[in-house]
Amino acid sequence: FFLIPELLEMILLHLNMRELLLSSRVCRHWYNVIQQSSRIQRALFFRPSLPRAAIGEPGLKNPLVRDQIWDEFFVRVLDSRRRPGNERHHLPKMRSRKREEAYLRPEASWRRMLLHQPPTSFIRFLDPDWCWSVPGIPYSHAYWSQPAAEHGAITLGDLERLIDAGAIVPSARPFV
Amino acid sequence: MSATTLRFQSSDGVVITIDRDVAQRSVLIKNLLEDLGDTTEAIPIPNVNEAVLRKVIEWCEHHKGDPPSTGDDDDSRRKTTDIDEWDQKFMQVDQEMLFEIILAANYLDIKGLLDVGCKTVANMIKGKSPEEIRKTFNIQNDFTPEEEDQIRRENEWAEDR
Repeated sequence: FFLIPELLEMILLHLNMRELLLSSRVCRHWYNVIQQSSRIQRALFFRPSLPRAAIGEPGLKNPLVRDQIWDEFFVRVLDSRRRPGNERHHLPKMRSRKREEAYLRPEASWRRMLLHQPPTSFIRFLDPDWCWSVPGIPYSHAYWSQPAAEHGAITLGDLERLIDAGAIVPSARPFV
Repeated sequence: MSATTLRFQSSDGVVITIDRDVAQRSVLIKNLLEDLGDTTEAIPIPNVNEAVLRKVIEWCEHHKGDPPSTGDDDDSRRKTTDIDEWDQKFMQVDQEMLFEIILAANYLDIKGLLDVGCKTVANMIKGKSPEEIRKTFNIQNDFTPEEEDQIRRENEWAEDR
């Protein structure tokens, strides 16, 4: 029954992101369907969705960023790597060494995820040296012109590099 | 004047009479009737046996008043996996029957039923570990331990929190 990829895809599309990531470990066939289905890859924020017809329609924010990654990983100080910006602002440590390892290993899949669907190529960020202490203009704008990302869209891996470099300091919540 | 009932023959040779408007919940049959015009002959449904066909008809009869589905909902999908109460009861069948219903809904092109079937299976996946999923659906783990560990390492950040 599950051998029909179209049906398996239809079923898997009812799962949330975390359930989808878990399901890719069931067997080769499920893994291949999840990897090869562009709808599932878009649902996982791995592949950009096609531009919407209606301009100005609000996009989709990556729910795993909102519910987990931001709070658990981005606004944290790390044990095994310096994050000067976060340290300067006395952000809390990671909850455990085990979690930190799971996030930091180079192959961790969250790095390939996009922030938004359809993807954004610019972000507004809080200027680390101003916003936390000085009232006034709170944001800067950053346009993503790096060709590094294949579609010019921001991935969480890009954000990690900026945070680790201290170029941006994450605010308490994402998507403000 | 077109007839108000139609006759269908299941794969195991049983002829079942169905109201025309109920039968037309199936896009396949609707298109077939447009091509065929009026017919009094039993229309063969070669891929669906009697038991499954009767379940499918039961669903179509219950939902005959529903607005026709728009069909194309590509990326606005996955709101929830909520299933209405009647459908939940309807789907309380053994796994083989559930899969047969989904296959029939896919073949007959009955989007609403296909959707409910897929959601029902998705709900059987939710909250389970890969091993529990395999057990539920009797799936063989054909990864090598190394391959499985590789995938686990990629996604461990999203697991056991």
